[in-house]
Amino acid sequence: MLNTSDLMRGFVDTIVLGRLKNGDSYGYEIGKNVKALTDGGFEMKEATLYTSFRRLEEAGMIRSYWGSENTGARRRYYSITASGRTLFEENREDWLRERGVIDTLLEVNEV
Amino acid sequence: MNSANERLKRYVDGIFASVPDTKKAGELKEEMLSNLTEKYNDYVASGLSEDAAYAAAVADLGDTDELLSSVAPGYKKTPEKKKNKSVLRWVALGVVLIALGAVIAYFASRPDGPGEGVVDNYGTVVVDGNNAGSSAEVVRGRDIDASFDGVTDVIISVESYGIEIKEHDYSYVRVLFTAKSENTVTPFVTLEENGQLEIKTPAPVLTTGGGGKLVIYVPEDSALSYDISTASGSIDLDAEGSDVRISTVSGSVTASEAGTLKIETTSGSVRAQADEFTTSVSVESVSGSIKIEIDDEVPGYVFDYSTVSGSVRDYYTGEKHSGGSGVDKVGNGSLDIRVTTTSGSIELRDWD
Repeated sequence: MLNTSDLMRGFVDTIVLGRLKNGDSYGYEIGKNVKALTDGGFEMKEATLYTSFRRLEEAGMIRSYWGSENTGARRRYYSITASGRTLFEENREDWLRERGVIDTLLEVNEV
Repeated sequence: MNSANERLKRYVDGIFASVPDTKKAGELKEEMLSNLTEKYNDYVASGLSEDAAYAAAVADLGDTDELLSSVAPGYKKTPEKKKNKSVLRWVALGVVLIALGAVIAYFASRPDGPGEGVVDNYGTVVVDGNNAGSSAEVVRGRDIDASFDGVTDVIISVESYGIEIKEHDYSYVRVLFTAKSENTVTPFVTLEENGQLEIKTPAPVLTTGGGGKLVIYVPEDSALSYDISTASGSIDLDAEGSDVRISTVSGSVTASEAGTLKIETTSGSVRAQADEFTTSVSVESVSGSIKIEIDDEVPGYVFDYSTVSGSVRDYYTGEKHSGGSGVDKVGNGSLDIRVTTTSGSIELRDWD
């Protein structure tokens, strides 16, 4: 059987970039939005999200800064860089192209 | 509220208990706690009891092993190596699919006449991949898509392009160049009869004002030799290499799995990865930070460092220095590491 979490894992970085494309955000908010947008269909474990942040930040795709919350712990915000935007667009294009290939091979439209 | 805070803090402290106290680890800890606290508060607001809210918030965290080793190199909880292989497999599958698509597109658009450079509708120069063994030259247009057989050496001498070298599943070398603007000077690409593939900006190079991206796909495990020099623009060599030399003024360099690796930079940062087939790594820098990562299969190394004011940190031996020079030997000393810098920091750590 197809392992959904394995299947989705390759998209985590692109999903994160996609969320940040619309404005700066932080871990919990991104997780919450992804869950809400997919009606609970896709839930990212926080560890997966943090790993993705580290990877993207190291690659210069995103930058982080600390919020100035007065109460409680500070939030760590992320913002997308120009190369992050480019990468997102590239990955999006790739997906649009490959989606058609997989659909054809799996005879999606013939079902 | 306060007791819940304490409880979550203790939980996070517990996760980090066996993790070396690095700056990155500290930041992650604070980030984790702030997100957990907010999530906990939302659960409570939605009507869960404090205990249920705590349990639910903590359960969403997931497996932290891979994450922790990314912020603290010394951290090793699970003995099995490279836990993230399955991720890599999916990434690899994705790359293969993308490459497959690209190759289909490429073959569909291939010109009929062998060996001729043809400018297609998009101003892209396409050179026939059957042009094996002879030579091909691409001078027109701003973008390049060219394939070559029989390459043994890759020589790149350009001004300010980002350079990426990756492996693909085909037996030829493919060169893709994308110009960033109208002012970009397209490099010459020439395959010499002795197997040297040369990619050079026309000399004398004036300010290009444009820049571009050079991506080179090489056959998997082909271990070509590389000689790369550039003024700025990052260099990412993600393919096996035999003899590798990289020199740049301000670009950052990432290089992995070379037989011998020599990197010179003025201010760019360097990240070099060595595996059991690597015999020597040499890095010279003025102010760029240097990170050398060593695969678990490497049986030992000799670490010869010299810096005027940079900090030196060896995560294997736990040694920390601020300035100075010295030689450390670990294991059988088979890998020769030489690092010289004026003010850049030097780090030696596990490749994970």
